[in-house]
Amino acid sequence: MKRIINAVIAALMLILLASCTGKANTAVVPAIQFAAPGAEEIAPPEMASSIKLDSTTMQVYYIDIPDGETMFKEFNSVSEIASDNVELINKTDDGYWLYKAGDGTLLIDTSAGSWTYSTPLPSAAPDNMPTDAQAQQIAAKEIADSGLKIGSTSDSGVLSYTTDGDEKILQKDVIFYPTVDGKNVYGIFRTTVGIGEGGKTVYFSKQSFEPKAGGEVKLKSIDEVKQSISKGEFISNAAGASGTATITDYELCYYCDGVAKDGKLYVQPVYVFSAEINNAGESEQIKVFVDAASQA
Amino acid sequence: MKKFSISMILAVVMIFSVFSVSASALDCTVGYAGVNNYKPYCSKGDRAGVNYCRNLDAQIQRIYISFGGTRTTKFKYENNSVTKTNLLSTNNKPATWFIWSGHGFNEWSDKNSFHLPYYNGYTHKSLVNGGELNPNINFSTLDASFKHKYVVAYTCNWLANGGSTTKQENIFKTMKGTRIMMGFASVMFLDSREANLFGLYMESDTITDAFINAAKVYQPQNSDTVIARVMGYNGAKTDHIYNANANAPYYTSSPSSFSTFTTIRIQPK
Repeated sequence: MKRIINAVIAALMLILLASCTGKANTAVVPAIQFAAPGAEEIAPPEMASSIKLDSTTMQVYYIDIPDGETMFKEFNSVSEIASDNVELINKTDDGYWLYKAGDGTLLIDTSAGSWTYSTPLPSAAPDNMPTDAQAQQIAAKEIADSGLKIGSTSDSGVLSYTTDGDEKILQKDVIFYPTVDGKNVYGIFRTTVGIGEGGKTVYFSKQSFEPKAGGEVKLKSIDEVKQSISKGEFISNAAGASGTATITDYELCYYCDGVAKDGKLYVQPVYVFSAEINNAGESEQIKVFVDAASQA
Repeated sequence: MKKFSISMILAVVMIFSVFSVSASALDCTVGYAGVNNYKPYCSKGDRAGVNYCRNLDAQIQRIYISFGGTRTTKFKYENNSVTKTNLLSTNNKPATWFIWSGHGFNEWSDKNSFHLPYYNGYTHKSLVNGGELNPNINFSTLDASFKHKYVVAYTCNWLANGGSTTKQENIFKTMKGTRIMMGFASVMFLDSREANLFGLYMESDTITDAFINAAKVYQPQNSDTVIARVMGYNGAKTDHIYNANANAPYYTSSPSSFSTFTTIRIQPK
């Protein structure tokens, strides 16, 4: 009897050992829906033989899309733009909620989990615009004071200008591009604070968030990447170039396409390849983006 | 009794006239040309041009109907029906709204173009005069004679001037009755969702602000600066979609009445 019990225990241990040394489960993530540049596209690039893709898996991140009421509270947490004077203009079938909110307009996109507050652009360039550094400080303070979770940012924001026909500045937008796991996130993943006359906040758009880990996804092998490229499943920033690009390096980053999939927004792996291409006789550096998650 | 009858008739006529004026003030026509499928004739990638045109058209229709007006199709060209011949014909089919979406080129020193997918079944690269730059597959700023009130060029480069006053002048000269022309002066990203947002914003914002605000949400999406621009007749800067304004004068008859309203340079990381 003792021998039978020992044999059963041994068999169970063997089964357990086998399952532990088997292939780990990896997460599955839907394919990235790239928005393609509306300019001429390059022929499928070639890959230098020195390119080796080292990683086999990478963490994918996601957020459950917040509901409209949650986003409404987020808007009201930003003291410079919060308003009790809010009037619904329209709620559409595809998930947009549009409000008149104080001096501006509040748009909540319940399908993409983002919201934007905007005010009319001034008819003339204001005299008392803050400096770039002041605009960045105002924007950073707004976000810090609101407690909004926009993701991990370590810089003071990228400046973007709205100008009139004489190139005079109407508004300064401070754009925060959060990173995930220290990696850049392309696509739509940013929070923008627009500063106008006298340092007033005239625009606020929250399109980024603190995502949750969703498991490791299997990454494409080099053969799978070459197959994707040959099928045209890539985008690049090679406007105006001709000839064939040669990929010389790569970086694993993230991409957020802003498209809800099963009620979630994903921040998912993307290969960002550096490539050289001939453009009117001169060598030009371009980027080629390929969805890194294997669908195999 | 006779006096009463005449008064009644006059009252009915006046009431009818009021409604007639109100109804026609809220009506619009829409013409669009959009391309999703550039293959197999063109080597350039497929884009969501038709989707953008249809989305914006649907938004415009929704808004005009909500104001008690109507929307009528003036012309509609998609994919392989987007030809040079058809686009030239639109120069004489003035619409309230004209929408273009597809590839856009700026390879020339004096003009930009909408890149067209189809010319008599030829593969673009086989065309002798310029290949992809062949005039039969490009509708340029020198070809355009826009008598439409509002022009939306959801494409790369249509409003790029590269610092050239000649090129800038040729862009303005396309406006022959156009109050506002909206587009991009750089590479941009075709995201058909932007049309839904543009339309929605027009319920509350000026047409100019609505276009710029929609662009700020969806542009850029990789590593390039995107330049969105709005230009037009100075009297149209505060146009809302629900205004029933007359066409602008031709640019050539009054150049000082036109300007660039707004440019936004949306910087990537």
